[in-house]
Amino acid sequence: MYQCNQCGVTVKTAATRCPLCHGLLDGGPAGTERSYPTCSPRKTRRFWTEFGVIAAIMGFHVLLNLFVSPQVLWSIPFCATVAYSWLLVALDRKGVLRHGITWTYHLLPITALLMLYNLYTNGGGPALSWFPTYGIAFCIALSLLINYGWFFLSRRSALDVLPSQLIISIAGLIPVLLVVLRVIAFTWACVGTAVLSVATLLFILLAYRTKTRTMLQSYFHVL
Amino acid sequence: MENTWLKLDNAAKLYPAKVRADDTCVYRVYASLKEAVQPELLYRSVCDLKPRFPTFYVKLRNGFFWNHYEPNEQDLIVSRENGDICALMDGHGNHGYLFAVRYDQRRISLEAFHALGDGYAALQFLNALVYRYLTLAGHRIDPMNRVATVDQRPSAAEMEDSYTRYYTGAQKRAADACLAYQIRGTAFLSPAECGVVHGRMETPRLLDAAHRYRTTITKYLTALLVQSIWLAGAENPEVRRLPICINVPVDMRKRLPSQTLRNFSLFFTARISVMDSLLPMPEIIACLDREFETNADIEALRRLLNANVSVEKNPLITWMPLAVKQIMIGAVAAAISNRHLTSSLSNLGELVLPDGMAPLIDHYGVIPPLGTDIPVIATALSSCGQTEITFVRKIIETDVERFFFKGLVRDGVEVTLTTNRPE
Repeated sequence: MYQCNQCGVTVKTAATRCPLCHGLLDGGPAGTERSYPTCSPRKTRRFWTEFGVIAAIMGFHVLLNLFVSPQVLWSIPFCATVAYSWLLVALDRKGVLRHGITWTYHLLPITALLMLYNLYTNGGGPALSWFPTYGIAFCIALSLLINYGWFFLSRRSALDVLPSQLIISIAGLIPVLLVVLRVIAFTWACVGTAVLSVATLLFILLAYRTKTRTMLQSYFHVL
Repeated sequence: MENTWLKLDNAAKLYPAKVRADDTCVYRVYASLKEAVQPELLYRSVCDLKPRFPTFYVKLRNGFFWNHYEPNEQDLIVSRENGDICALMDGHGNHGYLFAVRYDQRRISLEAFHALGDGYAALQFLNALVYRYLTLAGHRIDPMNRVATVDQRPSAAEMEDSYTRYYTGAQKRAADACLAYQIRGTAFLSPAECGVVHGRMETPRLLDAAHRYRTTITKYLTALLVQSIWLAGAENPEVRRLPICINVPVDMRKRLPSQTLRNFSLFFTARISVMDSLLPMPEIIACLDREFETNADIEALRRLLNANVSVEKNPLITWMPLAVKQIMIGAVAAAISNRHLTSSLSNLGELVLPDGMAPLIDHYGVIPPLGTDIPVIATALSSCGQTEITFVRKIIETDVERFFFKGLVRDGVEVTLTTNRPE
């Protein structure tokens, strides 16, 4: 082991200088050890692999859009949604989103994206006329489906998905409520979303009654 | 814990709000064995302990008003150390668990998010993990009721929030605060980087040195730290203008009956008044005696406990949505908390092992969680007749550690150093 004559300590880590005073050490390497592994360089390969896959998906859809239906640029919100989802996952991985992706992270941005798209397709004017009737219903239905996909494709437990699914399905009843209150005009999109929401609510209440109760208790901290 | 959820304890409620990339609220406890670690056995040991430590195998969830824990059924991950120390808990990479078990050569490390439990709780978990590992490796060890084993069932007492249990609502006293001297230095390039220096010594020698000053190990080490901070900052005029304030955690299980394996520690500040010139050790120790007598007295600690819990029970805080609460706590924590502290020294005391386990273990150690504004903090843990004092720093300079260990050598304690940043 090494000795530092300045500090009077023995140094067990394989080194040439004292970790305290940075003076040269006396003694030999016998009995020393590698105390800690050296920091591995940050892996950037994963980033570039993901970037490649995302870029390929987006590129394919842009080309498909341009060749099949150039009159409606549906690939713009699609690409924006894909890029946004990737950003969310990357932020979640870095711990920026603190405790996972919640419903607000996809419901609200998708709504915003569609509003922007609506503006774009109507020549940039304040053309939000179709948005309340179709847009809200469409966003809610899309969010419900994303959650179903997340639940069935990932190995997450029902308790992970239940809170957001419950909230979104309750939100899914809003368009129909607005129709009843004559705030917006009747559309089949509102009815479809309401049906999907009611079906989801029934599914949750019948299949996960106990878990729903536990979830609500924990969510609102009631014992 | 099947299909159940768990409230966070009073102290734990703070950590999810204040966690940041440079303030990870993650600490590490580790055991250095006398034989190389076998990863497969370690993985089996971690899996086997799941029913015994239900409060550790959880994931953190957001509620409307507070965070809560839910049982985590995902696969556990045991990985090789990669050089990162107390890094941010990777929610994806760690499958939602708030602790990570790692190994390197002969060392088993447990990194835990502070919301799970304090150092005592983590040491009990690590001890049980090492015991299980050694048993699976073929060693026959009598647990002697000193270590939790897989055939035991967790008790309700181990899962309780002892803060709430001992909250009486009377005689509240928030911690006094005044501006403290801040250690200055050159920060590492990356906020996640830190320097670690472990100094290992024989416990009887350290005890002799403390007894020579007629004091306890905790007070002796605190006094030595105060002296080292003053010497390291001797050229900075602020050291003669502001008091040196050392944050000292107190394990409340030693003061109030509790078996909880969650957080049950309180912190008090030992304040050494402004020093125009360096005070000798006996005078600093006399000053610390007064501080410990006033602030570490059980009644003072109970008042502090009442004050902490009453904040949580305040209706305004209780009914505030979690998102707003987290922003508020994060902002308050970033704005005020650490300006009142110079450094921190946590003595976790002696870890008593079963007789059959001690010969198989070299030593135990702790790496404390390093915040943003306190650049140098220290912990001490005794086991197997040795004490390991660990310094963690966010700055390149090692002056505080240098004066500290030189002081120990001066008092006749032989110190063996290891570091994560050899030159």
